[in-house]
Amino acid sequence: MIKQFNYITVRRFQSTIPKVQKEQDFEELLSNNKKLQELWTSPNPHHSILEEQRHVSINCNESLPIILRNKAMVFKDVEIENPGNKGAGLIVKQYVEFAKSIIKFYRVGIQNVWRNYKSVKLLREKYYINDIDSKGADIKRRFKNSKDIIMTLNNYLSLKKIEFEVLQNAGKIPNESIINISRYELSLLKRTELDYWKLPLFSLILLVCGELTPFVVYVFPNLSPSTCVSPSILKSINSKNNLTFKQLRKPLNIFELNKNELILYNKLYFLIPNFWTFLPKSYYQNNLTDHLNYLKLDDYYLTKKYYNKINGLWLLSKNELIKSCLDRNLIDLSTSDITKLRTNELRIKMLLYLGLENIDFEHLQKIRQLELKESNKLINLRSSLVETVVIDDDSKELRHHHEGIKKG
Amino acid sequence: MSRVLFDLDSRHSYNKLYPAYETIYKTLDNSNDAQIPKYINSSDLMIMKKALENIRIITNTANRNLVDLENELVERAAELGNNDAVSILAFEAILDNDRDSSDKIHAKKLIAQLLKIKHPLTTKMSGDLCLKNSLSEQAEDFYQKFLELEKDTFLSSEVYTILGKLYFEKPELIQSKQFFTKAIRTGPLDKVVTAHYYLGQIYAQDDLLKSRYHFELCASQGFKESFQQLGFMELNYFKNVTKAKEWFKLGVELQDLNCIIGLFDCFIRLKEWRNAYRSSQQLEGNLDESSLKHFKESREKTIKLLAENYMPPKKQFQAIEEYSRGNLSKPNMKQENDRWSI
Repeated sequence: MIKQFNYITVRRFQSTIPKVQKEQDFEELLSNNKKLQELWTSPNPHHSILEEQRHVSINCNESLPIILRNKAMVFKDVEIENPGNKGAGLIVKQYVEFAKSIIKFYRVGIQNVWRNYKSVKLLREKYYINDIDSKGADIKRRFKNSKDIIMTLNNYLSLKKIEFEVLQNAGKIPNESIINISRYELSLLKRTELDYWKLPLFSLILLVCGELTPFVVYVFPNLSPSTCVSPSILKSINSKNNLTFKQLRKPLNIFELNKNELILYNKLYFLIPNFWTFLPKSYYQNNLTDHLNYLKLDDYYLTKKYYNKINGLWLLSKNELIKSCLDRNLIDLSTSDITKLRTNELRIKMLLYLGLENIDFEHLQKIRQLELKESNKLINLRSSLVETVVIDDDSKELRHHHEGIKKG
Repeated sequence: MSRVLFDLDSRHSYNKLYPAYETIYKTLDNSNDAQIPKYINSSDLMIMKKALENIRIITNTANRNLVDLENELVERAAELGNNDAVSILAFEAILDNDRDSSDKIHAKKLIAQLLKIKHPLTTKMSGDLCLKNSLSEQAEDFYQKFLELEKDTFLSSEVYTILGKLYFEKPELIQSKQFFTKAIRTGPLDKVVTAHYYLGQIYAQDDLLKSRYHFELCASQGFKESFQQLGFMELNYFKNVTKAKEWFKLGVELQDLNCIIGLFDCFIRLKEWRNAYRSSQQLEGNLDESSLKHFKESREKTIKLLAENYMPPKKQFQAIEEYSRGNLSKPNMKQENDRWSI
């Protein structure tokens, strides 16, 4: 018979957040939650084969900003490099170096957008979607944009999930769903799509304003492409919204929200500029639906197992971790400094988000306020369970990016 | 009639075909052979038959004489050597239990010959026969063969729908979605309602807007099951109670009991207590025991809420009488009961 209609369950008020103070509590939580357990017991990636494997399948560092050193760091570096200089000479040198580093940050960003655009062009030729034309014949069509491909993949995955459950209940062995396009390619596609249109105006600003670009961008934060978003800009985009975040207590059903709430959600997920409040309600609804669809797909990629049975979550680079936490609104930018966030902290945030199935607003808030101490505790607990030791690879990340710049 | 003929790509107009209809109709009672005009060939006769059939389906009425006329037309077409007519008659002979075994053997021979020359209708009907005897794998083979012969006709849209259902039951939902989509693209709306309904079910998992679109198309053709789906979707997901109420009302007109349950929910949400009470009474009269029990268990709170807010007139009178006797406290009067001004 025809299956009864199932409603999509919106994340509801059911889950429990672990009390990290007691290890036993967390272990109890693990034993109750299969998904979390699976993520938790995944082996750690081995550093020697890390870079290439990471790059191919998951991380898309090209579409993210390179690390921008802050003023104090640059000054210190110059001081170390020129031990003989002192006084006014040193100060001038320090400022020149600081300006240079800013210009370099934006230059690499713009170059990357252009390169990404070219590789997206190749991607468009590589993949197609099986579709049916108006006369009922099978065709292979090129995808229109990232939204198109995300919708198709989501539909595919949800249907496969039902098939999987039905076959498993019937005692048969189901096939695993296979998606050809990797997370790297998908995020490249999604991020570059917007960046490409921002490129001309942004390069013009950079040409005209030079070192003063940060000030211009600070006033109009949404002008900068994703490769040129410095931490200070992020804060300027998000600072006002965090106050309003606390007012939103409803579960997230898009059709239940009024226009003001929709706009707030859109701002929280960095989907619209702050002044973008004059459009019809359906625009915000669609925007939010698309983003949630993307997150659903991204969650799939991060919980999926890659080589050596490692879950995608543990393969993320720091840059990607920051991006994915921001996409899910897990970082409270009003209280925490993005430059000081450690990889472990971010990874534990993501682990809890992906592992706990029904996350509500309160729990999201708790994840946002998770402290470094607690996350370190968790990581230590994990390293005692899993064979290979987790190294906080922040320093490695920095080196990696500098190497990237040299190559570029 | 002219429009139906046009839809069927008839070579002749109704004026030219009418004499043929008339002569064949007149010879139904006697055994004389009718003189069919020369410009009418076997395929025209089949089109004439299909036209009558379509009108029978559209108007939902069957005239016995006209059905006889249809059968006569098929026989005439078979006599003139139309393969479609031959295969229809052959399958009729096989399925009819009253026929002689010699008849059946002859019919089987004819079918074997038609299958040899890859006649599309015969292939499709063999598939149908296999499906009737629950040989789904062979049926699928026949249907695939049919689709190789015909890809974009009305018949193929029917086949796509059947294949979609087969794959839906397996379950291979992605394939079945493809088949249903093909059915929709190749057939007219009134013939692909089930395909739309299944697609609505498939999309309900993640794309509710698309799912609603397909259900609405079903509803436009009066497909009974689609109304409750649409109603519950509007009620629970899109949060549009008034719209849900309208869908349920339409469903109730088609005597769908689930729609009455939905209507009850809508009235409770809209605080139309009297209407809610009426629909609950309606349910008690119509539902069987187990489903009534389920209804009462699943909606325990709302039924309590209804009892608090609405008291039917009979009970009101009882309460007033007992109050006047001094047996009870003041009866529970709220909102609607204020008209008693007690």
